[in-house]
Order: sequence, then structure tokens, then C-alpha cells
Amino acid sequence: MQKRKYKLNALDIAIFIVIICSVFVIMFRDSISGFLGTNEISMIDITLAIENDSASQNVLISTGESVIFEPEASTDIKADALVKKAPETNENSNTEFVITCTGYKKFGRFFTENGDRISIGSDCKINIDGTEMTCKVVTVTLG
Amino acid sequence: MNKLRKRTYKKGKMKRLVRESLVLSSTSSLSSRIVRFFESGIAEPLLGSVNDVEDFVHDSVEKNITEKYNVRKNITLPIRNGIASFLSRNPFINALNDLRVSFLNISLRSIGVMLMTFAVYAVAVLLLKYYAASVFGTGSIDDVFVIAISLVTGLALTVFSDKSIIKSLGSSKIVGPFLSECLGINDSAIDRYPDKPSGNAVGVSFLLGAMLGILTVFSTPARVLLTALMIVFIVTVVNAPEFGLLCSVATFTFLSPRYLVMLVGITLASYLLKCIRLKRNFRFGTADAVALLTVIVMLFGGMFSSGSLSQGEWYIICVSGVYFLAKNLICSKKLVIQAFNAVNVGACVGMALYILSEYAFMIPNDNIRETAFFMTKNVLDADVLAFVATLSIPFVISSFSGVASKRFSWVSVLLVLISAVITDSYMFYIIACIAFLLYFAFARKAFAGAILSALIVLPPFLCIAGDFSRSSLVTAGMKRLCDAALGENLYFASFFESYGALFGAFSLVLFVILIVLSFQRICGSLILNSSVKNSIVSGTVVSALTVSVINMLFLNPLSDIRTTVIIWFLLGLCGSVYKVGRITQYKNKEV
Repeated sequence: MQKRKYKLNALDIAIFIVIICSVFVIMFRDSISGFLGTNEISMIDITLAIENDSASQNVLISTGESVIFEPEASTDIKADALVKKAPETNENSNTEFVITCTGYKKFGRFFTENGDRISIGSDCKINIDGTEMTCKVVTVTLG
Repeated sequence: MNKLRKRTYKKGKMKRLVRESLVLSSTSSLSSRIVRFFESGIAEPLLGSVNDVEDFVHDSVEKNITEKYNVRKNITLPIRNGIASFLSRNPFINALNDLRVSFLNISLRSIGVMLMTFAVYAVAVLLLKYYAASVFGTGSIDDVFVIAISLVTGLALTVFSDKSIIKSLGSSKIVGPFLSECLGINDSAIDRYPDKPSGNAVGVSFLLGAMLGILTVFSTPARVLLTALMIVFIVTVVNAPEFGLLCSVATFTFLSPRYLVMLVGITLASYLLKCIRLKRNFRFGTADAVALLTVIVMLFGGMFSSGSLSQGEWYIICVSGVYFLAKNLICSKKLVIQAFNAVNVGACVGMALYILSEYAFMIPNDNIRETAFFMTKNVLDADVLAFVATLSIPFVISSFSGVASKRFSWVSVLLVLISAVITDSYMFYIIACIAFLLYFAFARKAFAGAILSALIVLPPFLCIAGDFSRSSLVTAGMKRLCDAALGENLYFASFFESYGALFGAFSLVLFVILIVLSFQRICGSLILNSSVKNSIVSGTVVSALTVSVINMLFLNPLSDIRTTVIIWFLLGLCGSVYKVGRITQYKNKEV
């Protein structure tokens, strides 16, 4: 009986590619999806720095207080947020505080629930009990 | 020194060693005497009674019925002939056949084009889901991965492929050995196509890819691709029932019972369609009548015992179709060898999954660990693994003698050893030893050597096996047998007991008769065939059947209903090996 000869062909290459890519994807799924993000709504933490020249520096912000967050390029609908961490002055003499609101991460970028982009370094507005103050976005992370 | 001379030298050295050694030469001559005693001596009617039984049934039952009712032997032939000739002239059937031929003959590049088109359309749908008001869900990150993989794969196929689909499958280093040596695909079915593909069919591939891509609106890309693959698989099974049968044997340790029953059902339907079209034969022998009666009694016995049949009982009855499939579809030497390899592959998959399931928790990466847990969802438990692994041992050893493919042999040996060590079961070791010795007793016809080896090897095992508390595998049956030896009540909690409880005593009796008839057939094939290769094949099946009966006495494979596939397959294989052996014998005599 003559034995059939097998050679490495395009099908084998395709199978190797599928296996290697699948293993790679399974191994680094979290890292890749963490980088790319999804449009699943979750809590996001935004660290904001109060502008030094802002007149509203004296406004009292305490943990658990509800605020209205308005990113730079916002729509008319503003996001409701909660103060997660009260303002603290760091070693660079910048006063920073953390708010948390609902939003999502998509392809490495953060958005509020209404679809407004939250860019790091951009200005935003915070409304606390009718007092509006301007802040700068320092960091954004998934909560 | 070339390979052939080396092999001849080794064989000569071995023969000289046997001749010069007192123990080996005496066992060898005793084995020859035992073989003569059974083949042509007083004990010949004991193993060679199969022809007498066949003649008796033919003369007393078959002839009587045909003469009494004045019916032809093959009453369905005119009807099947009419259907076959009608279908062969039917333009729709012919168009389907042409479509199949042209699909297999187009370039693999077309599949690449299809995958790339699918990826592009799926990306478009995904972006639509992300950015537009989504009615059909939002998609997930996994969809991006699947699309990326299909794009890269499609690109590779488009760039590197210049062969037809069938030629690529046949000559592939990964898929080829499985198709050609294990899954029942005939070499001539691959070789009849030309080396160069008939065309690229880019337009059709583009359309198909676009259609599949658009379908991702309603589902995920992974599901769409899997459904397409499943359709191709079902079409293949419908075209080649042998493929479906051997696939079910090669994957029974991996698939869930539901999918396994579906696969067997599709194969059975495909086989019946082939029978109607006169493309496959159906022979109904004595053992088949008993098998059919067993199935009918199983059906009614199960209904009477509990009022209605449970899902598991239905599954067991459905997979009994494997017996008839194996008996009628495995009709050539090549297919017998492929069946051996399929059993090896099935056992290998089961053992590999068992080992993976035992150590999956040690995988550091969370996602890979989760994937491993998902893959081992249908893993066999230790009891059933011992049944499957020990049953495969004769088939594994036969592959070393050049009967089956050596490709899977070393992997199988390694997996059997690792599984035995991991289960830490003396029962596993003992039955593995028995399987090994039975192979040499039957396939190599070295009865005396096997008995002598058993006397040397088994007592230490049995002595250590007294400490049953260390073994997780020894069933109640074995423990009770030992109790019986010490004067307690003899009572087997084995396969047979479970079977009797499920389907009734009469069904059990019929099942035992079927096993006896299968033994009769395969033993007849063993002693009636003079060819060395045939006796190795028959001896392998005899030893596997003996091991499975021993296993059925001491273990309970019915705890996992998937094992019934391999039991029915083995019983069917006995009939088919007997049939194939008879054809070969006839041909040899003619020559």
C-alpha cells in the first residue's frame, strides 16, 4: 500500500496562524480589551485639578457630595457625578480631587454615559450647588 | 548499514535468542501447540464454529422463511433500484453533486477571499453596532479578535495557496493524516481530482463572505463562522457516512452526549440515504438480528421498567445505531485500519483532556485557565477513563506492528502511562497489564508466553491491590468480589448490573448473547485466516473485546453514556473484521 505524502501547505500555515493568534488573544485578552475598552457602561474615576487662578477655590468639596460634571466638548446633557475623594494638595502644590460617574471606555478613550469624550489635560466644568468652577482632567480610570 | 538490513539483522538476532533460550523456546513451542490445538485440533469447533452457526441459521431460518412466503432474498432491491435510477436522473441531485465537485476543486485562495470579505463586512457591522443606535446589540471585544484572526488567516490563504481545497486537505501535514488515516476518507476520493484547481471562484467567495459578514448583524462573528463550519461538516457527513462514524469514535471523549447523539443520528440518516441510492450495502446477519432484537427489547424494557424512557436511556438506544454502521460501513482493510486509528485518537483525546483537567488549576494565566476548564467540561471521570484507556491498549500496540498508523502510537503509550499514574489506581494497572498480555496472546498467538508473563507480573500487583483504600478507581464490583473470596455475598455492581436495571433482564441476556456471537465471529476470523496481518487485526479486536468485557465486569462505563458508542462500535467491528477477513481469504484462495 503506497503511503500518502504530507507537505506543509497554506492550510497548515492558516491553522498555525489561527492557533497562535487564538492563544495570544486568550493570554492577553484582558490587556488588549483593557487598552481597547468596550462600550459597556461602568463607573469611571476622573481625577481633576482645580485651576490655581479659579475664584471658586474656596468652594467646599467633601467626599460623597453630588456634583454635575461637564467635559470640554459636552452636549446639553451633563453627567451626574459623586465626589469620591475630597481635594488634597499634592507636592506640586496642585489641588486635586476625584469624582466618579458612569461612562465607558472605547478603543482607549473615555466617554461619559452621554457620549462626551473626556480627554486628559482638557478643561471641564464642575457645578456644586449652583457654583460653577473650572478644572483640568488629570487622569481617567475605570472604577 | 541501511534500514532494511538493520531490521533483518534485528529480527534474526531475536529469532536466535528465542531459539537458544530454554524458557523462550519452550514457551514458543507450547504456544504453537496451543494454536494448533485451537486451529486444527480437538478445540477447533470451539472457536471455529462460526461457519456452522451461519449455515444452521441460513438453512433453518432464512431458507424456511424465503421458501414459505415465496419472497426474494433481497426484497428491497427493486425499490432501491428504482429510487437510485430516479435520483441519478434528477437534475437537482445532479446539480448538487456538481456543486460539491466544483467546491472541492476550487482554489483554497477562494476561501481566503471569503474570509477577508467576511472580516471587512463584519467590521462594518461592528462599527455600525458601536456608533449607530443599535437594535441588534452592541458587540464585544471578542468580536474584534475573531474578525482580526479571520482577516489574518484569509490573507495567509490568499497569498500562499495555489492548490485546490481537496488537494490542500489531503496533503496537509496537520489535517491530512487525520482525514486519510483516521476519519474514513478514501485516498482515491482525493487523488481523482487534478493537482491544479479548476478556478478561483472569487466572485462566489466574495458574495458568500459578504453574506456571512452581513449575518453578523443578528449574531456574533464567531457564531456565524462556527455555523458555516458546522454546515460544511454536516454536508461532509451526509456525503461520507464513514467519516461521520469514525468522527464519532474519534471525538466521543470530547463531545457532550447531546452532540454525539446528533452526530450518530446524522450519520445513520446519511447511511440510510446511501443504502436507498444503492451506494452502500446493508447485510443482515445472525448477530445483527440479535443486536436489533436487543435494541427493541431495550426500548420496551426501559419503558416497562419506569413507565417512560429518560433522556439518557434514549441516548443509549440512539447510539446503538453505531453497531449497524460499523458492521456495514467498515468493509475494507483500509477502513479497518482507520477504525483502529480512530479508537486510538478517541482514547488519546480523552486521556489528554483528563490530564489537562487535573492540572488546569496550575495554569498561571487566568484566561488560559478558564479556556482549559471550558475545554475539559465534558471530561471523562477516572472510572470511565480506565475503561477507554485500557480498551485502546491492544489498538496502540498493534500500531507498532505496522498494522495501524504509528503516528499516534507513541503519544498514546505516553498518555496511557501518565493517566495510569495520575489516577493512582491499581485496577488501572492490572487491566492495562491484562490488555497488554491479551494482545500478545491473541494477536501474536503467544498464549504460553502471555500466561507465563501473567503469572510473573500479576501476583505482585494483586498483592499490592489489597490496599483498596488507596485506589479511587476500584469499583464496588471488585471490592465485593474480594469480599466474596473471603466468604461474603458475591455481588457485582458493574456495567451488566446497571444495564439490567435500566433495560430489564431479557435485554441483558440478549446483550450477552450478542457479545458471545461477536466473540464467535472474531475468533473465527482469527483462526480461519492464515495471513499474519489478518491474524494481528483479528487478534487485536479479540483482545480489545476481552478487555472491554473484563472492564464491564469490574467497572461501570454506563456512568458515562458516551462509552456505549465505543462498546457498540467494538461489537460492530467484530462483524466487519470477520467479513473483511473472509473476503481476503476468498481472494487469496482465488489467486
